[in-house]
Amino acid sequence: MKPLHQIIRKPLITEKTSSLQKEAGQVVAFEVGREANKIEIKQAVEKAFNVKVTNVNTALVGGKVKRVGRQSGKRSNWKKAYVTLAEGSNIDFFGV
Amino acid sequence: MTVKIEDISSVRKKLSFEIAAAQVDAEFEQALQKVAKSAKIKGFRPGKIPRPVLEQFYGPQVQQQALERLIQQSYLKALAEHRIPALADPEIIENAPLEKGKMFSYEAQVEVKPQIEVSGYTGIKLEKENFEFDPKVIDGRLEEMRQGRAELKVVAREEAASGDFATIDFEGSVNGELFAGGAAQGHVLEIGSGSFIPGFEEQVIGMRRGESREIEVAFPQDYGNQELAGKPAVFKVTLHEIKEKTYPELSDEFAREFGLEGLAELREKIAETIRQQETSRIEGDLRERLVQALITRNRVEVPETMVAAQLDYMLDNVKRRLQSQGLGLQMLGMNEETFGQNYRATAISQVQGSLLLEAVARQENIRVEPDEIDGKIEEVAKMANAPLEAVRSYYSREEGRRSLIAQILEEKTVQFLLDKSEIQELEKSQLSGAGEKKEQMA
Repeated sequence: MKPLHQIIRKPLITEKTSSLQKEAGQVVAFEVGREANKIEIKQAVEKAFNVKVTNVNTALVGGKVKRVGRQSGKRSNWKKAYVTLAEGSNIDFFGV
Repeated sequence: MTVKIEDISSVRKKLSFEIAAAQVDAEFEQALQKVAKSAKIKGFRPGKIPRPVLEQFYGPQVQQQALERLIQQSYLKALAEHRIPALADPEIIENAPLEKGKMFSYEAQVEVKPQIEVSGYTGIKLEKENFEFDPKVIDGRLEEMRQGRAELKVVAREEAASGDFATIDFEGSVNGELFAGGAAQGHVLEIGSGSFIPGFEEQVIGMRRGESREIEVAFPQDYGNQELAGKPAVFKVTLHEIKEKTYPELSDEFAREFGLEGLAELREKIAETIRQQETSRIEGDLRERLVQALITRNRVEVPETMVAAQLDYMLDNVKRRLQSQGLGLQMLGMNEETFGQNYRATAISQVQGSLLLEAVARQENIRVEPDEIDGKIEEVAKMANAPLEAVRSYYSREEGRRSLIAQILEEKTVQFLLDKSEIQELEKSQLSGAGEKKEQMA
């Protein structure tokens, strides 16, 4: 298995993801490596946070095109993962 | 909120607070809402941050704010409700850290002005210095004034004598060579003042006006300039003018220079100032003895805060006085710390005195009437030679007014106490030294 940090880059804590947590129970979001697949993500999250994962959805996010004057550049594409945790499991990102 | 008040001593109180969980929560809520409006966290629009996230990010800050507000509110409320005359900020000890949904309790220790019951303040036996007017003092003052008005006048005498002021040119040389700083023209030398090298002035005596002479002297061994010390020197001296110090005669003329009618009036004026100075000194001394007597009859505990404030005030006074003479505290061989140590006792007894006087005023219901304030303002204006309006406007400000009232109240109280005391007038030499032992600082 790849090193964990190549799969899970960082947690995504935004208005959208924190409201998910509220409604559907334990859904947490991560920014993950672009090469990581759902199975790897599931294993990585289970290992890193010691929780049980029931489902993983992923999405590719296109980097924005940013301009500075006449120069234009593109931010890298990245992948995010919505990870549904089994009932009774939770991740406290601030306590870890 | 419940408060328990205990007296630790007459100048210290302990306040124990218990604050209900509901109130703690309300305070947390309020602090959180305040933070929510301005909080900025990446990934969230300002003001749209969900509560749990906010608590995660701003928890300690919110707790701190809630704690401060809770303590401040409950403490101030307790002070107002129980009329505690707190002197300084309290020392606060939390029994347990503030937590949401839990009862919070803390203790505050604060210094208060002691409530004093003064006793034995009537019929105090006091010694008062008997004011005796000594006409010799006037003569002394007049003589001083005469000296101060002395003038230098050219005299017709041909030969210079000791005590004269001689205008001379001189040119000094060592081994036939002029040396730096050894020559001057039109120098006024007081013969016999010893300001020149020993032997020089003596040889000027007897010189005639317009005469030139060569004066041979030796520089003393310990002369400041190393190169010249101990060497013989020759000064070429020319005497130009001989002046004498003349003192004005004590006459009506002399008095007129001070804008007065005649000598008799001058004497009177001097007598009056001396009388005023002496009486105010004696009054001050008497007051000192009175306060001292009160202190010995009533043991008073003094709040540290007041002593510190009094010391600060004294230090300020001394510093200002020294500064006006271009000196510093170091010149007295003190720094601020040793000053504090040296004058602590004085400060304590001053605070005791003012506390006692205040208590007497309260017990005897001594009050200051509005027209007394006006009268005092006029008096101050007269004394300071300032326009009445300026003085009045100065004292119309809150702070000035309060200190003025305090001053009048203190004066009235002292007067009241003196009226009730047995005062024995004694000669200066028969006084017991109680009043002089204490140094008057302020």
